[in-house]
Amino acid sequence: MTTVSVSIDGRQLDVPYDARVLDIAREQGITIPTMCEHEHLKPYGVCRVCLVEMRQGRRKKLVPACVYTFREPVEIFTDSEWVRETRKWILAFMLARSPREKSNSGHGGGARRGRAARQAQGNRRGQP
Amino acid sequence: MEESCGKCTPCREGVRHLYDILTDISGGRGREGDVELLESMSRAIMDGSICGLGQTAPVPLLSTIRYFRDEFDAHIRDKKCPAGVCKELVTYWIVEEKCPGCSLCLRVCPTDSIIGSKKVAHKILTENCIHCGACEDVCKFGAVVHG
Repeated sequence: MTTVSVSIDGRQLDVPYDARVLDIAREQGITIPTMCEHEHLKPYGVCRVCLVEMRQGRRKKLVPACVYTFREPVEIFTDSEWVRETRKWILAFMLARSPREKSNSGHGGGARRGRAARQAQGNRRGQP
Repeated sequence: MEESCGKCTPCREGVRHLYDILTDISGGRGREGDVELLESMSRAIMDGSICGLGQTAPVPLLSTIRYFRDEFDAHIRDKKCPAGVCKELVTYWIVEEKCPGCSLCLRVCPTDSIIGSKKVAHKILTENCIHCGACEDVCKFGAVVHG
């Protein structure tokens, strides 16, 4: 089996070709939050909660850990400032839809919902 | 917003939030810090979306913020639309000197918010005016103005 030399949060690893970032991270004891991922479902990569930062040379982008697989030597950062900031917004968008969000009900609640999202984001500041 | 397929969260939810906040700003309900909020939200939407729709949807918004920041501030702080475009923030009035009292606007007003009699300059009652602009469109003398 071919392996790829990669790094996750600074740890140098040789991982099997096409291994999922999420699986490797779990093996390493690194927690990546997930939402749409489930053991009985195929990875779909749509909730964007499991986004991690992928760097390859000067190129960097956010990729979903549940569908991104290692095929070339890349560096993965599961908890960078960029990842945290984006993830927080995505969770805030989901929270704004929650039935407990009072401002969510009725017409014209939209913009207040946006602010609710900001608030939800603020409340979670500093927590992974 | 209407074109989002709804597959991924940032595009489906985020772009809607951008739209709602923007609508609030253009309606005079914007708050301090909303521009920064839009910018930070846009960043997350662009970085987090799967396809080109979510990745580019906030681009025009960011461009308008970059080049027309003062207009955003005018809407939020002064509740004014300098360009006279945001219906909810403009007021209409009649320049008396220009109005010959033809009663055309009076007849076309959907809310009967214009008072006056023939040959006497008319007046717009701002309380009932819905800012539709029908009077301005119909006036042949350019007596109806808004801002």
